Amino acid sequence: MSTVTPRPVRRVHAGSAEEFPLDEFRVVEVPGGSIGVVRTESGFYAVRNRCPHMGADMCGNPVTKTTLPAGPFEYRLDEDSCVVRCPWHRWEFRIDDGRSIGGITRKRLVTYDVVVEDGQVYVLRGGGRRAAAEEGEDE
Amino acid sequence: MTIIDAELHPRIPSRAALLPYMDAAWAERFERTAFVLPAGVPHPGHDIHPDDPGRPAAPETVAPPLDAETAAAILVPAQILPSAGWCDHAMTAVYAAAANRYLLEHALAEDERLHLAIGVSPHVPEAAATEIRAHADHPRVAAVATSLVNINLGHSHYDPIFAAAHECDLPVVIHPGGTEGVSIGTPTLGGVHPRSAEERYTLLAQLPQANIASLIYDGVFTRYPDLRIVFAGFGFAWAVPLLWRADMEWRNLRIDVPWVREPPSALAAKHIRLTAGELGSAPAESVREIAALLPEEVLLYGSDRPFSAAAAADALVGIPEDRRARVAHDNAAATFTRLRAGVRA
Repeated sequence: MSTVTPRPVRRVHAGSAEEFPLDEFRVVEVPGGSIGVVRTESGFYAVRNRCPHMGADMCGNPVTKTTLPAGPFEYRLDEDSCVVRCPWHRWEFRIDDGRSIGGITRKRLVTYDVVVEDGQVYVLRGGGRRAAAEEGEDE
Repeated sequence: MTIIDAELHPRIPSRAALLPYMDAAWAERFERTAFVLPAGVPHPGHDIHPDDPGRPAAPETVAPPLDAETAAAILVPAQILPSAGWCDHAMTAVYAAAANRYLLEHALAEDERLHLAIGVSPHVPEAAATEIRAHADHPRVAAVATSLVNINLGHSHYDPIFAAAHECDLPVVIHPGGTEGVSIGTPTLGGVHPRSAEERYTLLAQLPQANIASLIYDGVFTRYPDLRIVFAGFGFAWAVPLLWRADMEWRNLRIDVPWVREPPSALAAKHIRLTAGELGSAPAESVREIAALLPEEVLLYGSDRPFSAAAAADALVGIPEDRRARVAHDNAAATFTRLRAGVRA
């Protein structure tokens, strides 16, 4: 039986909260890649700036809403949704947990916890499942 | 091995045979205009014309003979299907109705294992739906058969046919009508009209490809969740890259078709069936590799008699051994759910 030593959680400063326009990503560079941080109506979120499909930058466009399953040729916008859409193949992932929309893949977009302290936004990196996901493993 | 034959073709012997099954005024018109009964359907090298009925079905019979191992068989009335290329839409419905009544009375009497796919013209779908419902309670009606006009199957044009088939739990068999690509009103092939029979037969498999994509992306199976569509006589090797590509495009474009809730290959496993028959010159080992890449529910054995004389065992050599019982029997039993009780492995 092997033991896994959890990685320490690292805080990455992403900027002052008041610098974040609604729904638009601010991208911060971290060792080995970059992270997109966004302020939405439901709070701050952070995702890895790399599509789990083919590696495209994910955070160049604002977060958006998605369409729900409906009858043929009926489009219904999910007003409560908040997704990151890949610019290459339009794969969509939930901003909160990185799961794909519509079950098109089991791969997940890597997500990170975000904390705001004294008006400053920090991304928490490392540790647990996120560390594994960051290595590209499927759910 | 027990067989359900999903595709064999009856033969109506003459125009005169149909006249008693028409209103007298229509019968007079069919005679006056010297209506020519379509030959089976043109298969390369296997045309069977009613004036030349010697091969291989016996002249006095309507249906091809069945092997002892055949538990049940679906008669696909190929002579009705060329009506998709006719101009007189009203006549297509009268003709199909007369032909169905003739076949119900004569073909089914020849062997209790025979079942009929009710043939309908796609020109006037409401008339087709009426024809389907008129015979749906017949205990030996097991499917609907039609061919295509130049409207994709996902278009609402076909809704009355699909609604009736779905309501009656009858799969819809799509079979070449014989005039695709060469008659105005039927689907074009390759965006052009082929200029030779060879070109036409080479391109014919484009029809199921275009229409499977249409059925899936246009949401037909969202509207009719238990509908089964059988493409008979089109082969199946093309289906592997088609479904692979369809899955890929669905992943990329799901936001445009949110009503498609599953990968196309999963929908195909539930709703699309393809007949597999005579191998011809195809090497069996290669065919087996292709067949193994399809969802295991998709293939049905179809003899295509009387246009093919190959034994089922020879055709099934092209199916991976662990799938042969499925293709020979189980998939058809699950598809043609109206087959009479007692048809079993």
